[in-house]
Amino acid sequence: MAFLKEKNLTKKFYLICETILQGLKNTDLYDKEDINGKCKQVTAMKFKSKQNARLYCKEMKSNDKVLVVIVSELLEKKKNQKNQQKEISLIEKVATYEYELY
Amino acid sequence: MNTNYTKSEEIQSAFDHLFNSLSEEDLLDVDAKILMFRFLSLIDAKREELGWSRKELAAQIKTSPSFISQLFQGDKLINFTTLAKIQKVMGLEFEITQKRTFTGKVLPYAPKSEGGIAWTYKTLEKCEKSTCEFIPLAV
Repeated sequence: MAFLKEKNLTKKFYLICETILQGLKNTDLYDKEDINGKCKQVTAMKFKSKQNARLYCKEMKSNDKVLVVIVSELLEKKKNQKNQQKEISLIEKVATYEYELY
Repeated sequence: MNTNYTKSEEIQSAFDHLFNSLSEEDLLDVDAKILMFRFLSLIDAKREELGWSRKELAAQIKTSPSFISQLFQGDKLINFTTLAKIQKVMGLEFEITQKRTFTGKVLPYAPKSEGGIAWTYKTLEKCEKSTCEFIPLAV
């Protein structure tokens, strides 16, 4: 959260959250990062214009079938259009995270 | 890795703190962009149906592909002229509907007696069923 404030990305983050919560599809802001079979639940919030940062998330469903998006890892700057080893490792790392929902 | 995170109140408070820093103007801007995204999601679905690239869409309405990207990224707001152009080139027609929300007033329940005096309720006094012929529900 400190990063979002520092880089003046709070409003964009709020916009992305609202887009998700309202069920709107906008792959420029939020999209799957299922780069391989292991990463099916991994998604990314994209901050393209300023910092080109990514917030890698894990999508899960609670017991009462509510979709929960857990922001897991921050990539401060994505430097290439195609995922490089750094991004691939981060995405795969997020895929291994396990969360217990209450 | 197993993350057993129970500090939900802390998370909620951090989010509140973060979003409370946004001004009224910021919130209105986000609302405007969400409204725009409602149109854009329909436009994008139609674009895919037509098999057009975004570059092609931009060319059709005589704008740049980067402008289209800026719209989808929420960095610029669409105007109605551009929307009308898109409608025309794509053969789309937007239909506007209003979300139905309940706007009536919910009145507090205040039953009245015929004599114009409000009913008041009092706790039932302990009584044995067999000896109690009349239970005073209301006075």
